Amino acid sequence: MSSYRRRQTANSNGSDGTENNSIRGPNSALTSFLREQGITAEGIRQRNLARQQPNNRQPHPQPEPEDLALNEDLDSPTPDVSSDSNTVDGNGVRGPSSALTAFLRQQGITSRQRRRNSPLQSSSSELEPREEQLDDAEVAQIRQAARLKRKRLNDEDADYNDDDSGVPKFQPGKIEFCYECNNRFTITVYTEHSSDALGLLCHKCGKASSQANVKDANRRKEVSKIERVAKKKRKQIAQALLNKIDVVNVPKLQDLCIKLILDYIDDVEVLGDIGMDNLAKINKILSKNRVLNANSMKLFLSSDLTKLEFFDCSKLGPESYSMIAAYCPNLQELRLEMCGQLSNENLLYFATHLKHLKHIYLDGPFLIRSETWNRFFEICGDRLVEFHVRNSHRFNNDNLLMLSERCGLVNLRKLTLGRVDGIDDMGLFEFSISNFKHLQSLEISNPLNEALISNDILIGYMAQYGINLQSLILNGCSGLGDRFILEGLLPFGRNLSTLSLDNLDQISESAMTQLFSTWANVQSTNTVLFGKDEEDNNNSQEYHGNNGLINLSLNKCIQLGDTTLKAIFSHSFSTLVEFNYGGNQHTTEEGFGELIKYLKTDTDLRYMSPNLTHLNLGFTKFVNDLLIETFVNQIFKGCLKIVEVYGCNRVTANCNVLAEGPTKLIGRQSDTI
Amino acid sequence: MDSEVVPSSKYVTLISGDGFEFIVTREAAFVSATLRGMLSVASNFEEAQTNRVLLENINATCLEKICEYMYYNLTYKDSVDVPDFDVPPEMALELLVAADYLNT
Repeated sequence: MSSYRRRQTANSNGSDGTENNSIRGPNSALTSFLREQGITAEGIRQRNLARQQPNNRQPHPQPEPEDLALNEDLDSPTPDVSSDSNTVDGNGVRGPSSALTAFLRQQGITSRQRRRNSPLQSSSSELEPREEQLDDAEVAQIRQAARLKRKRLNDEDADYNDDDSGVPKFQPGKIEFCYECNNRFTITVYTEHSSDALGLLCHKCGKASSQANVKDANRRKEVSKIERVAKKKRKQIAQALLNKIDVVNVPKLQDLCIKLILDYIDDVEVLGDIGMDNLAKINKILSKNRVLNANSMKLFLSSDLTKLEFFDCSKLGPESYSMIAAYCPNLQELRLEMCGQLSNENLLYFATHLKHLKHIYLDGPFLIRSETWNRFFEICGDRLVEFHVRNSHRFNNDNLLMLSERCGLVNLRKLTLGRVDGIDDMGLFEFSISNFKHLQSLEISNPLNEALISNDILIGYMAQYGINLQSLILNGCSGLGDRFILEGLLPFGRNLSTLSLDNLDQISESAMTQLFSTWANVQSTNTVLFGKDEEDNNNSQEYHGNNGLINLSLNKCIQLGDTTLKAIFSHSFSTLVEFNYGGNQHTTEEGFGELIKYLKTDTDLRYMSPNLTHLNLGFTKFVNDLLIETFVNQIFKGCLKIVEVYGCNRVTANCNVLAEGPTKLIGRQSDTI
Repeated sequence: MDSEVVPSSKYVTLISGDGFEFIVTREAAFVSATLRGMLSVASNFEEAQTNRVLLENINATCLEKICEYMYYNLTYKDSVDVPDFDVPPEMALELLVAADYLNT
């Protein structure tokens, strides 16, 4: 840095000084003040030089060495120095330069001359080492200056104030006139400077000034504290909002302890009787932080356990899994997520040792081979009531067939096949699925090939066993279209309470509207007919309406819009608890207006009490303040807890929903911390 | 503390398993949902009559910390700038069992 600056100065020596000075980098206030006062760093250095080398040829009689850091010093230009520097290069202001540079300048040797004298090639490359040497000299000098400064500071303010700038000298015992009231007073060690540091204050004025200063500082401190607290509070609220929890000022003692235990989890030998809730909490936090390992896993095992859940097993090795089966022989329900290291032997060990295992949920069992799956189903056979597998590319057509024959025909009630890429044979799939006769819950999501889950296969299945189904999840089966809705769901989905059809881009607004309005009509007709003529009712077997959905997810079914929304509310208004209707684009402002009007005025709805707690309208067009306010403050008042409006830029800060009220509105653009 | 019938005294006595007595305000004790249930006048429990609660499964060190927490909770319930509550690591598990029992 300093060498760079010196080079600049050297160059400026050769050319016109004023022109060079017209271009400069950003200056500090101190620099510009110094320039105004005509003080040059070089002058200061010269004085230093003169002081340190008393035998110097250049006599520069300096009464006292001064220092840059002392403010009182700055406004006292030494006339001979500045004039000297002016005569040398016609440039009154320059950056700091080394003693050697200053010396050379005094000798009348400029860098241009030096360069001219040196051989041609030395212009830049050879100059560098020399400058390094200069740097060293400079560093040594700076060190010495600092040492001297420390020494001087120690023996007080003898050379503190030799100025002639009009600022009174701070000499205790001296008579001075107050800067403010102009009264005579004697300077003491307690005398204060005026606020602009241009004069001294008498005792009275000084006291007043210092008190005002203290008061001012206190007020500022208070204001900044209030600001800090407000900011913290805003942050807390925003954080709680995103985590969908309430703001808690004081954490529960249990949570404090859990946090502490987690910090020392590797030292814990046994958790003891801390309660199932706390155990589950610790388990979940460990999984969330991805620190569940073979050691900490052991803390959760006990022989009387019937249900075990680990949400992140990525650090558990094969021996840990065998330990589960060995330590918890009475397990009935086992859930292992991200169990990538679960080996073939482990799964078979589960099958043979966990005699009561009925429900198994595996996410990501990559290592399990096809033969092992088959063997597992053979051993478990009719024991399995629930089988869930996600994210496994080795689970194939064969395994599905084996599962359907060994378990599906007998006891299997719940089946999940999520992202199971090994299943790709349509014929085998159709055949296997027809074996699952007693399913209450079926999930087939994100198949590798959308053609695999076709309208025909599912309509066929629904026609046979669809009546038993309470939960149907077909996320990402984008091969399904309107035919499935009208011929599969409409007639046979009468017992469904959970329906999820995310990302089904082929289903149309008209089909969905027809589905829900037909269900709604049948519902009301049934109620009317019920008292009058039951036989009539039994005749129309096609028209068994659905009794209302509890969980409904139609996320990103991009063709849906507000007509369907109206039909959904007319059918499931009082039963819905969680409703996801995000990312649906076919909406209009008028449509929503009509919907609100319908919800407000319909006589049937007036006597129904809604149960909706979770509503997602994210990324839906034309969702605005009015709609949300109507939902939150009128129609679903009291029950609605969370409304998600991510990406709805018409929902603004003006939307009248309290941040701390019963309803949390999440995802508004205006909600920034 | 005299254990005669003082239904709504300002203070209640918590007794640890090893016999130490801690006298805290009723308000502080109500931080714990379990104690609130025991001490509420409507419950008609013996504890509510005598204003004394025997906590046999909690020892004195632990109960002292719990009393500390109750007052901490009471003090900072409504403030935003809450200082940390210090729990020594060696007592965390024991305290968690007690906190679980007392539902605090």
